[in-house]
Amino acid sequence: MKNTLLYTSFFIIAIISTACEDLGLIEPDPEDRITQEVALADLDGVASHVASGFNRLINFNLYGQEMMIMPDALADNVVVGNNTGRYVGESVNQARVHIDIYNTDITETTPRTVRDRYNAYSTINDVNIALETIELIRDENVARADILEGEARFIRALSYFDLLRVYAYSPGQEVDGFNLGVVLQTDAVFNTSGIEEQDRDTNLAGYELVESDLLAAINLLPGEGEIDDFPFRPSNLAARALLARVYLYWGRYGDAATQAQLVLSNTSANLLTEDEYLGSWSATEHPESIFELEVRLVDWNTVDGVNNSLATVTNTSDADRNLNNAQGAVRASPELIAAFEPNDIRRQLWVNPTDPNFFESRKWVGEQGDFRENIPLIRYSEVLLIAAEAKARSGNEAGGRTDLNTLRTNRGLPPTSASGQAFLDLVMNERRVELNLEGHRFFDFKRLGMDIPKPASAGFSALAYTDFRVLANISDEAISNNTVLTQNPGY
Amino acid sequence: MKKSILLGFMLVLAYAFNDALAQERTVSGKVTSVEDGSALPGVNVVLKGTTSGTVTDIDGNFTLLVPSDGGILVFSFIGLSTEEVEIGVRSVINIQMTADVKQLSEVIVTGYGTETKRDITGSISQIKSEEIEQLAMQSFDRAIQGRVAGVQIQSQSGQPGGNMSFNIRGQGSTTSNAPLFIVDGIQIISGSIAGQASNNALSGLNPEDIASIEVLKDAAAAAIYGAQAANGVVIITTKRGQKGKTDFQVSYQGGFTEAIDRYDVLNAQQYAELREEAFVNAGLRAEDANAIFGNPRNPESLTDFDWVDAFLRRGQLHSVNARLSGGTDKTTFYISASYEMQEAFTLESDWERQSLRANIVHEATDRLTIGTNIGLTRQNQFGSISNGNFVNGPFVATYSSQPNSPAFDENGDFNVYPAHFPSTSRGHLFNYNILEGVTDERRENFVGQVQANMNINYKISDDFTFNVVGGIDWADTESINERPATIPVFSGFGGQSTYDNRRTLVINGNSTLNYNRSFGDHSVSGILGVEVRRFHFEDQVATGRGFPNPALRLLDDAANPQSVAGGKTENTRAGAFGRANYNYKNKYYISGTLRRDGSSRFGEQNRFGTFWSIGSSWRIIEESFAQNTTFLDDLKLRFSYGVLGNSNGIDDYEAIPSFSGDRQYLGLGGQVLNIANDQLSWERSQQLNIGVDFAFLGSRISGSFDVFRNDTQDQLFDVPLALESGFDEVRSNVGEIRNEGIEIAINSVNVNTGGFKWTTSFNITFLNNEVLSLPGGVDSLALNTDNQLIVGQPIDFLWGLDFVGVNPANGKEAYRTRDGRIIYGNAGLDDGYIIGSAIPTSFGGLVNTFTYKGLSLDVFFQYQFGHDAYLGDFENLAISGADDNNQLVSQMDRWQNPGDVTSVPIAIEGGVVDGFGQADPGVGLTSRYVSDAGYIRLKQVTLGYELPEGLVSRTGLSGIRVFVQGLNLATITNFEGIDPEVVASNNDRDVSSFGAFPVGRQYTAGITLDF
Repeated sequence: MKNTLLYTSFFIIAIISTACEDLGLIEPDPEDRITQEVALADLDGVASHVASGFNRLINFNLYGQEMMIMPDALADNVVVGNNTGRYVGESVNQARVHIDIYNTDITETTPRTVRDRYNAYSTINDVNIALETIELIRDENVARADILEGEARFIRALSYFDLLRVYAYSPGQEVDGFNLGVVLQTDAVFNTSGIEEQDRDTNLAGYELVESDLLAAINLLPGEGEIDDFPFRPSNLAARALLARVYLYWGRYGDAATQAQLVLSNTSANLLTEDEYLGSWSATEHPESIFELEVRLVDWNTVDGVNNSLATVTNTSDADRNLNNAQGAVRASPELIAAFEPNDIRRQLWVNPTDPNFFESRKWVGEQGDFRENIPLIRYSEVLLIAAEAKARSGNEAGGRTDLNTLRTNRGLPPTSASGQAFLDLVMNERRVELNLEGHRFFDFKRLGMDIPKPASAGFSALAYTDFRVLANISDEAISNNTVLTQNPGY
Repeated sequence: MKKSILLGFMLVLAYAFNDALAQERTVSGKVTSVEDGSALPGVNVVLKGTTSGTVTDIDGNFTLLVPSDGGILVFSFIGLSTEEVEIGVRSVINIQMTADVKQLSEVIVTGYGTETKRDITGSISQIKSEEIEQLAMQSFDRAIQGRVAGVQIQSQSGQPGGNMSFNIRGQGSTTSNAPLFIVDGIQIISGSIAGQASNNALSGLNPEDIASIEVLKDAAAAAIYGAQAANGVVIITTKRGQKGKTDFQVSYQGGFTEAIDRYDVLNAQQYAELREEAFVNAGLRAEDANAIFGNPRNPESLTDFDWVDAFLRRGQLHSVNARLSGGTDKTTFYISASYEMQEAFTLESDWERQSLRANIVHEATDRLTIGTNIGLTRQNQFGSISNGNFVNGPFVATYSSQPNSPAFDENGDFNVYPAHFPSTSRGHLFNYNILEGVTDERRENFVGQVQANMNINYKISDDFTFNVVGGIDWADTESINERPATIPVFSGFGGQSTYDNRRTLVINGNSTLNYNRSFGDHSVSGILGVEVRRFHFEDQVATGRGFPNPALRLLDDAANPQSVAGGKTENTRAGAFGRANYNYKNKYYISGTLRRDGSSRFGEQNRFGTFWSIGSSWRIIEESFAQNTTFLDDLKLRFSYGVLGNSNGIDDYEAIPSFSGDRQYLGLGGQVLNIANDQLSWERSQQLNIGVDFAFLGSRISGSFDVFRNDTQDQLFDVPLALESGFDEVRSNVGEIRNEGIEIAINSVNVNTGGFKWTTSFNITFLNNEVLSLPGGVDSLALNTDNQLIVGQPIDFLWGLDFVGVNPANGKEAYRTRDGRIIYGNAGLDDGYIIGSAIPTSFGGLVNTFTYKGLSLDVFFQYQFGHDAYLGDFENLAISGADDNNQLVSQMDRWQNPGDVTSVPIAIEGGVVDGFGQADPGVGLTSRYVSDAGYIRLKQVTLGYELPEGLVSRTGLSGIRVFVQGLNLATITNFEGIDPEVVASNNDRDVSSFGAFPVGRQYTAGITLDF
């Protein structure tokens, strides 16, 4: 009897211990993730990666906020409004305080502020996965595959272009011959064995990659009329418009003019008239948009509106406009206000409701509620300004003047007859008053190799183009994690 | 698998009842003290070689069923020498017991069994209930802080019911150092379980219900837990009833808590002065500053308001415990109920727990014992935001809020912040009135928790016992965050409610076969067993907005659904294990342990692991040469070595390369790749321990001395990935960390004359933590990130530049680079270096107890030294007035004129001078905000009085004890923050302390009545 029980017990233990190993007791059974075979079996899986890529662009370190505001703070359009710690360093070009889109892409509390970090390469890998998968399953639906490929290439081009303009000099504008661009990763990373440390390619190689992606996208993407969600998906004209911008930065003004003119001639987007202009900024979809990013409620956590949105940074608290506790971190520099010519309708976007010296913008007003709004990335007026400048710089000043006057007359200004440098200066000023808070000012000087002007309150008149602070520092995370990566000079 | 267990149960039960018919008779008797003849209650009386036993009642009497053929009764009691008495044919056995100076017969709970202290080969510390009863602490981890050598317990928050960190012998892992917690044989949930405030799963167990806590610290002791053993094991045994008279005890204590310390911040005039100066130095106009912040030369125009003072309060606390215990020959029970509530010393922070416990043991036959332990608790916690640099966190915002801006208007209603000079548009802290937020916002946790198990113990023969335990720890929590529209920032969308429901469930079962036999001078024992543990967690979170009235706050009342979220994760561990012990003449001991474990968490390639240990001890005291000494009472040498695992450091599905849903665009769900490593496996810790247990001078002095070295390799570490891959890190098994140290525990009886007794318990641990190797053989990794490590350095250090002072010529902060240059900012990665270590190099505790007749006084100090903490708060409060945040009073010593010698830089709006940020070296941290965090704290003073028996008996009670108690009464420290105890595991790099919730000082008085 005793022995029987003893043996039985041993028997039970033996059964249980083998059962654990054999019967899959410890086989994981996740419900929140799927294998690559399932995830990338079809074009739906590709579309999901493209969707992820688009969505990453609304990160607050990118177009969600900083990429739109910082180029104005790093130059002379805005100064610190309420001191929330935001844009304080940027306003005076503090070393190492710059646009940061090359970091770990997690929400993290850094010693000074809570902020969302962004890694442009996460977006790039999303679309790289899409591009490699399309090659394998294009036959499923060639038409759909083409559109997805076009969108993926558009996202990749936009991402590399942003990396290049933040971290590298434009080709031909190098300081001390420093011609590094960024690391060009065009292969999808599926696992750690696909990761290789590599140093930065040249800026020219980067621009060439962007160009080839956009040229491909122009061929693959549909026209505006064929897109249900226009302007929230890129059309072939959006790709052309972006390419025009790229050529402008590259100094290829003739090409820029050609692409810009093709967009202007074919787009369904309209240039707003003086009467329509002010109201357009509280429309959910900007009528001038050639490409716009859509932002939905689910994209934000509950405090993103008041913490991180474009509207909270640029408006002071206003219960009547449903912007309670808006931070008002930036306000117009006096120099920006002074840059408006008399009767410019755009001057009315800047108001001073509480303090005569505190001019705040009504461009980003969070019209969808809780500070939320969609984000126009390429507008008709920008393409018009690209055309004006590019034509003038490529020997067609008259054509450029026509384009500029088209814009001026629709903004309440008289046409200009300026020419030569005066005309180019006027284009720069027109860009300043039209495109402020949309992420251009700093880059407009940088692409031309010009010193960056600063408002009087900065305590210095300009940041010399040769100053190391013109290029952003590459984040410590990027440098630490890639032992062969070259930091920008001066850091 | 499930069927196998069931089958096993049935088989065992079937045999058990078959065998339940043996003949029995009763013996009874009385146990008295040999010294004064007084009755000895609570003495264990066990029939040798069985689990059949009882405990003497208050009068020292016992009754026990024994086999008709007799046997041997073993009488044991802590502090008395164990007696063995042959029953023979006697039915009455009266014995006298003598004090056992060696205290070696104490029963220690070990993995899946018990052993006497004498026979232990491993390093195990034991805490008895007496040490932690009536401390009015919400969880046992808080109660044993500083009382166990080698165990470092640190408060994460002063929030009542808040979380603690618990490290045994240092931090051997870069990811998780939490030990395994076991209550009555069931592995329980630890850590945080609810969505609001700092909360602690271990609060689900009322410390008053704990009989003993054993901490298994070395390989010999812990290896039987295999893959979960590397961080040590904490085994908790709850109280049992004792056969005999039914005891009924009621106790109450009540008191209050208050703040220990606070930062001293500027008043309105000082603030206005500093702001004006900062404006002027930045080239702005003084009159602009005056318009916004007031004119410092006109103090009458300023209204001072102390935000911190308005936030602090005196908190109440009450605790009522009632317990009923007792038993008959066959059945014992322990039933307790408690209610405890505690308010923090700050507004809207409190905690409440009701608990109920029933522990029942029934001897169905003389072979079969079944028992069940059921603990039910409900907690309700209201908490503030802490540990983060948030404008709605009161421990940040009450200090930062401007002192010239009253929180209330003349009617006592909340002002919109900032309330001063309302003509300006200058906002601050998102215009969030922190006192309004704390008062009106609801952040509440409701926790319902069941810890229950059932066990069956079957005595197969004199030598073999079969034991089956199965149980659960089930915590359901509901966390509610209401942000009513009455707070301006939430009025825009009509208020918001978020409900976060979480379920955490551990199911754990094991079966063991225990063997125990002596052959002459040889004793052999062993265990064979199997165990399965499943962990399940799921949550659902829903947020609604737009409530018609602040009083209507359920999701049903919301006009707009805002968001939903939810997830689910599970893991399963299963293992088979065995242990064998052998000793010769109670002199030479050797033991070996082996466990094979599998875990669903690990990569397909590495799902199983084998862990083992050997232990041995030599009781030198039994040698003839030692017997001849007069001063030596005990001397034992212990040695152990083993390889243990730690699997806490990864998420359940982290080893599966996969894709999951994330993001959306235009309503189309996005999808992202989870990069993963399918080779992932355990951290393997090689643990070596050499120890000595000793007692001399008539055991007036006793203690133990241990030296240990734990080398943990295959660290579950986030290996950095080149960011150009689109990823930044992947969890891998790489690198090795060494923890080595010395543990000393000494107990002494200093005075014992004329009824006066003074005893001391002292423990200290010296620890050295060091990274031995890193992946790829590099010397340092990921500097200036969360993952930074350097070979030869501790795993948790502060990295940055030393602040060398303020340049007297221009008021700029200067730093020293790694190569010795003095710079004013823009440091790069090559310039930084280690400026402090966050890991204490020594810690411990000291208790002195004085008793005289019924009076007793306990004085307990707890301490830790040799580490630094980063003062996150100083980034807001010690920046020489660079922004609108109120500042520490120390900032008034700022540099003003060339030649000023001070450590506070020039006040300048924005804090940037010549392109360089003040207080920011450019990379890493500044030593200006690093502070020595060592401290020694008077943790507890308790003065108790046990009323004389004569007096008590007239009341009809059997005992009355009254006491007064103070906790956290005094602290000696150089720490510049508020509380050196609450610095770790904060929000940045585990080192900083933004808005930490400090612990409070607590005064209580209480009474215990025994019926």
